[in-house]
Amino acid sequence: MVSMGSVKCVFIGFLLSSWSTVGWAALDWGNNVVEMLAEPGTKEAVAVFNYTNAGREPLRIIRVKNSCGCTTSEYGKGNIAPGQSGELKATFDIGSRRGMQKKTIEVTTDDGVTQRLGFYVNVTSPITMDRKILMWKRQEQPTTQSIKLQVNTPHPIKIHGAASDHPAVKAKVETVNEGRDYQLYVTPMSMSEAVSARITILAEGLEPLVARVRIR
Amino acid sequence: MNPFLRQSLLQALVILALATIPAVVVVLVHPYGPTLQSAALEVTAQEVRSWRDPVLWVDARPQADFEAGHIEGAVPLNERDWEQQIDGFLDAWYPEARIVVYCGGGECNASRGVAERLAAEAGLGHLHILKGGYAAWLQSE
Repeated sequence: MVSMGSVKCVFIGFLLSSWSTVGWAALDWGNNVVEMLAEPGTKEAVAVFNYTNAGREPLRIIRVKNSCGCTTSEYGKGNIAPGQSGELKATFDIGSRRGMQKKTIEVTTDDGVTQRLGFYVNVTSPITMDRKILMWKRQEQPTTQSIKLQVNTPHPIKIHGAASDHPAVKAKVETVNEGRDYQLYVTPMSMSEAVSARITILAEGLEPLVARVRIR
Repeated sequence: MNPFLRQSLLQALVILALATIPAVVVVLVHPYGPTLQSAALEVTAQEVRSWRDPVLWVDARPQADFEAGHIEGAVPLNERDWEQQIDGFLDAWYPEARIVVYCGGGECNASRGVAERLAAEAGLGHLHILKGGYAAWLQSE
């Protein structure tokens, strides 16, 4: 039979183990995750994380570690008095990155607590392609491969067509759902030689999209 | 076994089991939870050295680091400069080669990002990430 003492002991142990995983931080970040959208071509994204010293003792940020070299952080290096607020400004160098970019910033204060901030930037195109590079091995059959094109904007965008810059590669676009969904079909005409080609996809009011083709 | 020791061990096991529940929840639903799956497999420098297949090295570090020194035959490809560098990678790619992406060292988020993007955009499989990155490769020489 399980004694009352054992139950208490297990319960206290569980609370302690849970407490140790959560920790207690005097630096209170109102919002420790910033999410934003960015269009391709945007050079950088900036997030501001506000904090307040919710403790009774002064604090100081002693270390900030960004999850990649693409993110830099600016913050106050001095003491943060109880009740005092401040901000940490994070700048993310977008470059050619695409899709959801999840960056983290670890902030360590001189009370020995490390907290993690999330900086999420979704670099989205008005039209997304489920593949951007099509590859064939030369010993394969010259089968047709396809790329799905999807319009993500609230308004429809027409795709007028596609053209290959190499005579050994043919490309055509078919409409699945006018202004919304299209399919690009790419077919090699010959597998006798190595080929590098670019398919240019023309969309209404947008810079041309590019798909790359390699036959090796 | 001493009854007291047995009871203590039992209690410790129950505490561990209970503590596992929030840990599993964190892994599954927390936005910062660890990623359990990746498009690429981690390999050590020693493993790569033992391969007989040709290797196409992909350097996921910033361009300046690549220029300062890189694994022989590597092509630069990082997410920041992707549009400028992807053609160079595709020109170097050949079907027989195993692709190994490396970073500077540490957690290697850069090489993981490049491997995942290659898998998504080009549908490439059998991608590898060098454990410990360039630093580990130099140490293994």
